[in-house]
Amino acid sequence: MPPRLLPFVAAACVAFPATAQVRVQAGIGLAASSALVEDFIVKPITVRPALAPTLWFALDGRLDPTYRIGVGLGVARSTLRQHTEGQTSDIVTCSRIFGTMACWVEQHTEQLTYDIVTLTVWQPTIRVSRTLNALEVGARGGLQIYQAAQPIGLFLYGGTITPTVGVDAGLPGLRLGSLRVGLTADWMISRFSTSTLRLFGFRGKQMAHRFGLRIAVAGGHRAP
Amino acid sequence: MHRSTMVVAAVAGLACQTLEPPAREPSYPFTDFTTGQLVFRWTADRLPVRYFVTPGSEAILNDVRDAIQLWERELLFGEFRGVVANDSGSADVILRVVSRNDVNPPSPCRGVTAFAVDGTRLAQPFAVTVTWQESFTAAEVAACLRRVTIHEIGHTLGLFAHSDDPADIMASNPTVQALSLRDRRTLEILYHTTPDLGPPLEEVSP
Repeated sequence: MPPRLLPFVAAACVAFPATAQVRVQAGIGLAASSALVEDFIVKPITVRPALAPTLWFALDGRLDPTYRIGVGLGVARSTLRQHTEGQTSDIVTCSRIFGTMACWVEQHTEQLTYDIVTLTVWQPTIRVSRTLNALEVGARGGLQIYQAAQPIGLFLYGGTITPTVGVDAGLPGLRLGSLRVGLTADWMISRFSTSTLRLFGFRGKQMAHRFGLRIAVAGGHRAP
Repeated sequence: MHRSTMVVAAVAGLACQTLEPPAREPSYPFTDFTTGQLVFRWTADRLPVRYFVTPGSEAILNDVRDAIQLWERELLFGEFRGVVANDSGSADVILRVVSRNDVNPPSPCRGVTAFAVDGTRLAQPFAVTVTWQESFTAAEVAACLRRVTIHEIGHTLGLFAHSDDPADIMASNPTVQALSLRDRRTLEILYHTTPDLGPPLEEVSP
């Protein structure tokens, strides 16, 4: 765990009054991201993380009869992929249809996709939630920490930390004894850039959207 | 304006923000007459490119490592990666250094990158030869070996032509030790141009 996450762990330890009901959640899921970089060198280039398996831990407690407040930590790991449109060529296909030879031309564009580096995305957040009809809905804010396995390409001079906000909605799901299994979907946005991109002359930040779906097991206890 | 409308407008404004790429000019040509103006570059499936320094040529081993790293760092999307290989059998580029004692040599060292084309691909690994002159001081030779190694490795990346600007490492007679913005831009354009020439066939173990 990066040292910069320690304040969040500490916040988790002190966030809840001793008498509150504390709920602990752990989950697994998948996260998809929009493009982190869109560029044009001869052809359009898109860089985005591949679909990533995620682990999720959270704990929360009652703020008042309506709202809950908590902290969470998600981690997703996948490859960072570059996608370029490749060479466009004409392919002639011929076929005999009802005894007549027919030919047609199809334009074929070669797609080039390759992995740049393994990327881990940490997501420590603070979440406020409430129950609305049958759904538990929440709003989250925190950080998105991008950490590449090697210093290469747009992460040559290290990873990046960016603020993130988003919303989620979950179904409480099944009760299994004292545990509850639920399904949650979330959407987070952040503004992405790296020091390498800035050094290469990029300006501004790319709005990155991150969509997640996870199955979580929740359990709680009432402290004495 | 309602507060909720302002919030929606602010979120929509944020959601539309984009990263603005830099302008990518000027650059110099990267093809030359020896290949009939054909484009060569290493493709993603052939990375990392393997560089082998022949025994007795260890004087440029560190220069080769540094040069590979310098060129790698000029590309944002991991388009090129190189490593120093331990055996010549699997090498894509073979480098050697020879010393000479010419009368009144114009420069402490010079380099030559040779390659052969067989149809639509390179016939064999690149052969880089760097020659240094014994009549120059060790410091002069070391500085020359460094810039010439960077320059020759630039050729092995597919930068076959020379720049007409002496501030570029790919100038015909390099005088600088670092890559210029034009070197970067040219490399970026090369590594996103569809190649006409493929790399040499890989040796397949039986």
